[in-house]
Amino acid sequence: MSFRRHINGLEFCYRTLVERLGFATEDVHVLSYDGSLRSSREPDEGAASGRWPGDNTPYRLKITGEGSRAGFRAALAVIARKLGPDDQLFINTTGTGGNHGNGCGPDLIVYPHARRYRRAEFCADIAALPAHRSLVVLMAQCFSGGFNQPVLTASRAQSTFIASAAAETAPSFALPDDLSWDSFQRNFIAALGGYDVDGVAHSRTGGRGARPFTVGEAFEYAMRAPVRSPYDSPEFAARPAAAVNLTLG
Amino acid sequence: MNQLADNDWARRWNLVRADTNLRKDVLHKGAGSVLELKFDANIESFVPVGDIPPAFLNATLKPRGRVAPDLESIGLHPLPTYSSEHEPHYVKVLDDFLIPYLQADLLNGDLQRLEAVIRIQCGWPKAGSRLAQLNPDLHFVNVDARIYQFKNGMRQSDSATSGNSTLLVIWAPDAPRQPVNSDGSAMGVS
Repeated sequence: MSFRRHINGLEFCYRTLVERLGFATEDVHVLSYDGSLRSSREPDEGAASGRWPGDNTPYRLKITGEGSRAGFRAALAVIARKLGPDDQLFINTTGTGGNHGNGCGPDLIVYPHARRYRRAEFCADIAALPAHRSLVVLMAQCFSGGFNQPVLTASRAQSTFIASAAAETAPSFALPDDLSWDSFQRNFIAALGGYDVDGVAHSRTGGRGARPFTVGEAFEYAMRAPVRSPYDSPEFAARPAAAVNLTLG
Repeated sequence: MNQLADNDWARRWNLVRADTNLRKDVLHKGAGSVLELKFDANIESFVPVGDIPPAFLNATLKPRGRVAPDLESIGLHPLPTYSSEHEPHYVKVLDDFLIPYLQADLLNGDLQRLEAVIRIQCGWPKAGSRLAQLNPDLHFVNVDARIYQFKNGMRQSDSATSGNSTLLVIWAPDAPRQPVNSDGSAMGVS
């Protein structure tokens, strides 16, 4: 399930991957809600035709599939045909998470009708990928820390890093006083790409020729960013430990 | 479909299960609690009375909708009397039937319900962690809650011949104007 702030976060991630880190647009799969730019509480396309609040320009994001397990598996099937031993895969999930507290979760809440994409299903789906060089996962939904160790176990990558906005029993939050953004996801992506949503260069990594943040450094930055929710409880896991030194691109 | 009357809501509800994010505040010490509702004609709403679960302190529950929800319409039989051994069944019913049914009604639907803003605790960094040191204070967040009842929704015992009770479903769906990204539910009976 996604609200406008989650789509805003996906737009930021998309722009960062393509425009800052050099990913080809055909290598980026974007899955959201019903496969459109709508969010789950927007009954028509009106909001989707608005402007992105980062820099007040039109959305550039191309949604390629619905935000469901079927959509994710379809995207992974396309990726699996190309993924080789020297390749890197980056996955960013955002939106709503649920946790019944029965030891079987947490879950992603997905399209349609707030269905559950269970942690075990997610892990089984990424475990079916061919072996690859590195997997970096950023999860922004509530309770996402519960995915960390199972994703490490499931990953077929030589190096795996996963950062989550919240612990297994805790929610994740929007930025204080600005519901246009999820706090941890925005700060993590800004650090990775070197630029914030408004295009202003990051104080440490922005600008031409600057060394990019590693995923470990991006995590540290997102935990301590000057504008962030103090109530997130970010966690990460890495295998091997040196996976914190991965960069994207 | 019969409409629900005020006295269908104004009663004692035994709350028996809740998701992780609601458990501390809906169930006292995680074990169970009583939500007793009384109708206040002055505000045409229900208010909790008695030993109020923390989530419902100062809450006002406003009646909404015209169509009484029922389990049969989504292919469900009454649930067994809740116990921990039935938790997997309850979770499956929630995930595969009840939440999709309620979600489908969320935008423009007309299911009878009570609507309230409840208060839940958030932000529990692991004790002793760096985050817990940075942010030791408890944080509370207001979330929208929608409360539905299903007549004959729970069997009074596991005996097939016993009567049925009314099932209460408290759903706190993720909402655009909330700063938090969680979906949670709790259930009770009367």
